[in-house]
Amino acid sequence: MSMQTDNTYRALADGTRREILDCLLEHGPMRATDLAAHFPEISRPAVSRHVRILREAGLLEERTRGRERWQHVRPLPLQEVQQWVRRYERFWSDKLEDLARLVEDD
Amino acid sequence: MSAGQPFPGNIDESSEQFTVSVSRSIRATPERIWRIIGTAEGMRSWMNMLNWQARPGGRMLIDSSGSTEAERLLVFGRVLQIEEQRLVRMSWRVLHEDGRLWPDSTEVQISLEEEAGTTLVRLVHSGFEKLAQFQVDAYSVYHHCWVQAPYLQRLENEEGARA
Repeated sequence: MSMQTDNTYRALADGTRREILDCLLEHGPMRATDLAAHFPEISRPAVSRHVRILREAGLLEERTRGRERWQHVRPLPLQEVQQWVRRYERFWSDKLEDLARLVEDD
Repeated sequence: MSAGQPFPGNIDESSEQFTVSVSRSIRATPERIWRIIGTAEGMRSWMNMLNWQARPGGRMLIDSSGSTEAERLLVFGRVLQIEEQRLVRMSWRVLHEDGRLWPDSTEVQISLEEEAGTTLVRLVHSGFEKLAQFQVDAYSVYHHCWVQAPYLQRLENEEGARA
């Protein structure tokens, strides 16, 4: 598993960061200040820190519009995780092939 | 896991929802296939099982050291349900070589369905959502599902809406 996928898992391990992703998926791209308003129980610096971790994991992308920076959800890392799942489909597929060889060669 | 020939069976739709499900028609009767699944000798030859007690509550143990896995694993579990020539359901938990243990069991189901001259064999491995934190801590685990599935769906919807 690559470093990027490792970062993805670590970023998603935190419940607040999952809620931030949820919030952006539900409401669309936002500025960090708008995001912070959705999480009144968390300080703004803490929200900014979570956003930075999500960005470093490749889950968020920052786009500048004028003087404002907007946070967009970026799906690519999760696609990488999906590829990992497919390895295990391969494992069980191979086992089925082994079973077929065992019983069909009689 | 190896990168072999293209799989002639099916990767079932549920695999996209983070439960592995594969199936394949095999040119043999359920009775013939059950001589593998229903016996310790058969499961040793197929799955490299060191122990297989084909009865409810029976034990299962696999040592992967003889397989192509890069890391040695011990897989262990119990038979949860067994119906001769039709179905076996077992718990499936892994102990890694370095001592890391899956915090909970997953579940593997093997089912047989007779078709015209063949048998449809389906393998379903589920329960990976229980391993979320373990996957975060040590990601050499099998699978995952937990929150990504709804995320992926929503992300796909979002991407679709943008397109």
